[in-house]
Amino acid sequence: MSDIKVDGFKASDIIVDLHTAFDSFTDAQRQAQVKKTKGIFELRITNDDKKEAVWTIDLKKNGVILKGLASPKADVTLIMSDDTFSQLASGKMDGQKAFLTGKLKAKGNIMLATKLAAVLQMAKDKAKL
Amino acid sequence: MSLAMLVGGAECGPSNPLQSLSKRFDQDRGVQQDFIGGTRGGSSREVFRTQQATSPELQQHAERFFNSTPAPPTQLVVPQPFNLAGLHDALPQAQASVQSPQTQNPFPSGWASDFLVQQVQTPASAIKHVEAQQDRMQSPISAPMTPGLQGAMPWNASHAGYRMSPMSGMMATVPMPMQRSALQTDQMSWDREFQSQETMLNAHVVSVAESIHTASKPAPKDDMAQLAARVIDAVQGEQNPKFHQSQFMSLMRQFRDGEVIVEEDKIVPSENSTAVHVDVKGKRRAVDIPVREVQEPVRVHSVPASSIQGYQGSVELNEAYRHQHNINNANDAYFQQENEEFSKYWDAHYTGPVPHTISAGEQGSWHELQRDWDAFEATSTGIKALTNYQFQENNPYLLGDSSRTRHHGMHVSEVQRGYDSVLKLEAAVQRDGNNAAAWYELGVKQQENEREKKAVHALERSVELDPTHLGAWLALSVSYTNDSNRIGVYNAIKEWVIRNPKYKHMVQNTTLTTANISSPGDFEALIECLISMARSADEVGGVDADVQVALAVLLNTTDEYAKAQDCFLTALAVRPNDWLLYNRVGATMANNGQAEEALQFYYRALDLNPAYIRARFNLGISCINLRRYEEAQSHILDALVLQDSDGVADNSGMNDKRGVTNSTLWDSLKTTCLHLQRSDLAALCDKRDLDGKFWDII
Repeated sequence: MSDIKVDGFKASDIIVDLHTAFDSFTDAQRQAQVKKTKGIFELRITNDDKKEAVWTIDLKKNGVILKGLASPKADVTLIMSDDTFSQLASGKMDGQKAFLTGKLKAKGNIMLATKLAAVLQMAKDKAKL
Repeated sequence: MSLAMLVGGAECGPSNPLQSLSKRFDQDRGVQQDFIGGTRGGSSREVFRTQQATSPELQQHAERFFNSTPAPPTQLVVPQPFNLAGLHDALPQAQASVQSPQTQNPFPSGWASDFLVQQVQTPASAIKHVEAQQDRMQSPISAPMTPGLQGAMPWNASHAGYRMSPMSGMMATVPMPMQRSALQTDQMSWDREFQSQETMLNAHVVSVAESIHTASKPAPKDDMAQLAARVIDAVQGEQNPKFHQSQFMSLMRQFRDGEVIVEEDKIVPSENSTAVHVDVKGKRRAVDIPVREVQEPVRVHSVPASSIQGYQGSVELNEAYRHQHNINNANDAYFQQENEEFSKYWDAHYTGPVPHTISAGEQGSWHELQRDWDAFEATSTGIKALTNYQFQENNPYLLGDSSRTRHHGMHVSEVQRGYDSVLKLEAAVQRDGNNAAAWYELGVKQQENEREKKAVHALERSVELDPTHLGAWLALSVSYTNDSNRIGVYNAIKEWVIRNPKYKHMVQNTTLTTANISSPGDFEALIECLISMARSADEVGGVDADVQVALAVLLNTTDEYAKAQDCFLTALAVRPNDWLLYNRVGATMANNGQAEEALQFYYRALDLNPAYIRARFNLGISCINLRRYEEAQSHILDALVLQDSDGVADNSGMNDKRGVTNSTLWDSLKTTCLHLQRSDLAALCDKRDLDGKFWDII
């Protein structure tokens, strides 16, 4: 778990949470999520100190979250600031808006980028009315 | 077919039992059925030869049977159970030829004399029947050419205690003497007909038949035994004990064991087996057809069981003939035999213990169909899936007179109603399954207690029972929203709008499509409609909270959380003590990423109703999102304990909670535990163990 952590990033906590949630999934649940997404996301997050951290969310085969560059080439690379990422993760901003306002840059399969919000929400239960 | 042919030309009234019998056999059952008809005719006419003494008791039945026949046969009467009059009318004129042997032998059998008597219209027929019976008892006759005797003979099989309805017995009996009489005059053509039918059947299986048939025709002893053994093997898996004990099987076994052998066209006992008492002339003819049939099951293996049953029947007749020294009563045995055969035929046709391999698969698929069908219900509007609400077992509220308390519940205040337990509401519904209001209350309660599936079932049932129950439609739309069922939400809200009498005039203005398929445009239209309804608040006297809720639910579905939140808040202004609304506001905020703000609404909802499980769970979720895991853990655990208390106390103490607690809650708790680095507690979550160590950490 600590191997995923990068100090000085708000995004780090989010990623760690996501990782924990992934851990608690049963194999069947994980496969279901993989099936739903089918892609490798590479996240390049820049914090206020202009440092960059890279995580990979592999939802193509194994359903794992790693620190560092994607080992098979990522389907989409998403570049954004730490703030933008935490806003995306909390659901306060949606990916399309971030992309259109230039807060999020994407390389590769942009359509897949729209699934990022769903991936980030995947660990969270929705509140019921 | 055969029967119809034999009675052809007879003037059958609409109620003629014989006609109905022949209709039964005339049904389109294809070639096999033809063959059965042929078999029956062939074997039975040969076998029924001798006459047996009647046991007194059975004779009494027979007497009653015959006596109840109305005397004047020419008169067509309303069919009665034992009315033979119609039959007599239907007898072909060939009957005349029967009379000559009959007169030589005055009372050969009950049947024969009965027919005779009716034919010549003897007034005292009933007395004669009795005489005939007695006569028959004293002196068993074996007059080969007497038709009546032959009719009575073959039915002498063993099972004496068997009872059957006299009617079916009679129906079955009838053809025999008639057939006989017709055959006497028309023997040759009948044989030809039979032969031709058999050829037709064989033509279908010629390729298979050729080799085996030629091999078995000269019937070397071991070949026949092999065939028999194969037949027995082939039906080894057969479950029906009747079939195993059948005389066909015993004959097969006899073949296999070499007790009987086939000589030319006859079955004869081999030298070392017990001699069988037979009338030579009858024997010869009785046997020649069945022998071929014995080979049939092997030759035409794919022929459905109906035909095999047919063979079986005919062989049984033979067997009956062989064992005639055991016979007690001709009539009784005849009824019984016929019934047995018929039931076998029926079994084979319909419940399908069929001795060939396809049946297993077929049977499986039928069971599947049945199971699928059970899951649906047919209504006047068509077939739809059955929504079956799973009640908890051993509900204590179902015992005693606690329905009284339910009735009370209708009059107590809103707040107090919130404390009704799920079990109480389930009991109310179980007592009165057609009460839409009771279903509605149960559904809302299940929503509160975080059991969405059960809530949906209950609410669907409610609107099904009473489509005008607006509250149920609204509650259903909420449940659908939680299940992300957009179309369900749309339809539920639409129903609510259309059925709402307050806004009838407005709905008529808007064009709500009646199609069930929703498109974004439809959502827009519905939202527009609801907004105009909300704007008319002044006309109808104040804000209608339900309209606001409906609008908010719809906006939630379309992810317009901010607007939805406003609507809920407006509704809340009208109903400040509705804990459901507080939770809905909170949930809308939480889903909009405002977990922090949502908390106070959850707290307020829990103030109003501390047992509000959904709010408690939502609170837990928000705490997770805010990374306040310990708080979240205690909230979710509280929710689980509350859910668990809805269950019936289980004396066995097993972990069988029957879905009382919700797996979603357990999963969330597990995630929380993992966040807290407590994998030991997460393991307890996997076991759904509420009594575990959780209490240590709180």
